[in-house]
This record gives sequence, C-alpha cells and structure tokens, in this order.
Amino acid sequence: MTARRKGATRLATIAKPQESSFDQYAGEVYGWAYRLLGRHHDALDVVQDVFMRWDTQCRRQTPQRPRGWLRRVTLNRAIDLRRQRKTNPDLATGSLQFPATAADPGAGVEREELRSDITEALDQLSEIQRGVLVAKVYDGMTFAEIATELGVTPSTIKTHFVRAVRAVRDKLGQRWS
Amino acid sequence: MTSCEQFEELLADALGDELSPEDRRTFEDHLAVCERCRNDYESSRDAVGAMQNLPAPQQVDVRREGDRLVIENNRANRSLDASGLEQSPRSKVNPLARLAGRTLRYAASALVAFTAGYVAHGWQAAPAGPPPGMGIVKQIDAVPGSVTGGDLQQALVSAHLRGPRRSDLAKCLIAVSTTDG
Repeated sequence: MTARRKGATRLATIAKPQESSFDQYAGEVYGWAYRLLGRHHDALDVVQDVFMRWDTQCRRQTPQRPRGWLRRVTLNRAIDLRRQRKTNPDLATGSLQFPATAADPGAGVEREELRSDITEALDQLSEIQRGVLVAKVYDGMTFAEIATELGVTPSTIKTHFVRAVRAVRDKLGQRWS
Repeated sequence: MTSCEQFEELLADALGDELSPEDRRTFEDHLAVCERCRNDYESSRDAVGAMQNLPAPQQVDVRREGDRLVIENNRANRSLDASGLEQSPRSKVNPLARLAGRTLRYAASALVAFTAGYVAHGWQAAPAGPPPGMGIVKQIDAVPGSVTGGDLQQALVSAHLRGPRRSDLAKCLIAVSTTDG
C-alpha cells in the first residue's frame, strides 16, 4: 500500500459505472473494516482493496448476494491487514481513533488490546461464523435476515452465532482472568 | 422443567435479543436453577457487550465523482483532490494569495484615507464662496448705486483682499479700470 499524507482520505477508483453497486456498500465496508482495525486510514485501505477485488469479481460474475460477499471479503482483508501490522508495526498509518484521555490514560491502550483480542478471535473462526457474528452484533440484522443473505437456514445461522460468540468469549476470558 | 438442551436451543435468541416473551420466561427459569448454564450465558453476553462497546466507526459519506469514489469524513466535510491529498476549506486558499489580498486591502484603505484627507485639506484651504470669476462679478454687482471708476476699483481691491487666490482677475480688472481712469 502506498504511503499517504496524514489525515488524507483515500479515494477508491470505480472501474465502470455499471459495476459500481459497490458504492452503495462502501460505507458499510468502511464500517466493518474499522470495527476490526480501529484506524481510519487502515479502514480506507481495506475499502480500496475490497473494491479492487469487487471489480475483479464482477468482471467474471457479479455476486448474487453482494452484501454478504462484501462483508466476507472485508473481514478477511481486515484480518490480513491486522496481521501485517502486527508483524510490521512501522506500516501502521494514522493514530488510534480514540486516544486515551488525561483522566484515563490507559483507556486507549486497553481498548486497542481489546480490539486486538476480538480480531484475533475472529481470525480463528470460519468465514461464515465471522460473517454471522459481525452481521448480528454490528449490523443489527436478525437471524432470519442473515439466513436470507447467506442462503442458509436460520437454525444454521444461530449455531454459527453461538460458536462465534463462545470463541470470542474464550479469547477475552484469557484477558479477564 | 427446562433442560440444558432447551437452554442451548434458546441461547442464540437470548444473546441476539430475539427471544419471544414465552421463551424468555423459559430461559430465565432455567438460569435460576442451573449455575453452569447461567455462567455460560453471562460470560457470552459479556463478550457480545465488549464487541458492541468498541468505538463505532465515524460517519462517512460516499459518493461518486466521475470514475472516482469519494469517501468523506461527514463531520469534517473534507474532500480530496486527484492526488488523494486532503483539501480542507481553509487549505484551498493559497497563503500567498491570502497575503496579497491583505496587502491590497491595506493599500485601498490608505488610498481612501489619503483621498479623504486631500479633499478635506483642499476644502479647508479653499476660501468659502463662489468660483473666482462669479464672486468678483457678484461683488461688483453688489456695489450700490451708480458705479464709478473709483467704486469699481474699491470693489476690486476688496475682492482681492478677501480672496487673494482669486485676485488675478481682480488685478486685471483693477489694471483695466485704472487705465480707463
């Protein structure tokens, strides 16, 4: 990824107008990425990457369920990026979005560690478990809606959801214990 | 009596806040008597809460400009140029242009002040009264009675004394009147 001036907001290029149903989801892509990464510029990096993948995919065949496809790819890409940042901290761009306050100087660090643990837990999940968890917790979708989007039964979605929550719980439990 | 198997079936709806009122009673009744399931539920609920309590992403506006997708920070209302560099409303103004504008304003103010002063000075320096020629004519007209050479001369001298700046014509008339006698 190219370096950019601090504070700049990345532009993503749309290849062709007829393939740009992406732009209606770009805000959500940004939100999903941000949830996992906590950094505005990293989230924008993911938006750009996901768009390029969307463009490539649409040249072959437009996904039947674009939102589900985008969520899956976004979460994968965000996790990859976080892994990269962890091994190469110098690549990190921008500061934490919510730095600690003077009254609670450790809050920002603690929050970042929490986010890191959650993202690591998500990394251990299957793609569908990850997607279900994010769709339920962050997108506020019902199990029925998620089932429709992913093309599976609500009972399957609920099973995936419980497994995903327990995985996050077990990871956070290591912190809390 | 609700079993742990029933608890497992209702756990997803409980964590996802989709329990019906009847199922909620069933679920809570089991929690009251089963410590293992209660711990399972409470720790899972805390994990969901931790995820929800992470800071939410800032609001962004997404729009298309030609073949570009622009993602803007809604709050700051920032926009981007083609190089992807941020352009805030303030940064759109060239600092040199800003300096030039300020200089022009100062110069304009100085010019106005100078002009006002010049006009005021000229106003004060110029004697009150009508233009030179007209004033002399009127003064001459003001001489009562028949006008003799001496009266005309006296009038011209008076005009000269009152308005030395306008006295050139007065001098000529004096000279003419003197020559005529």
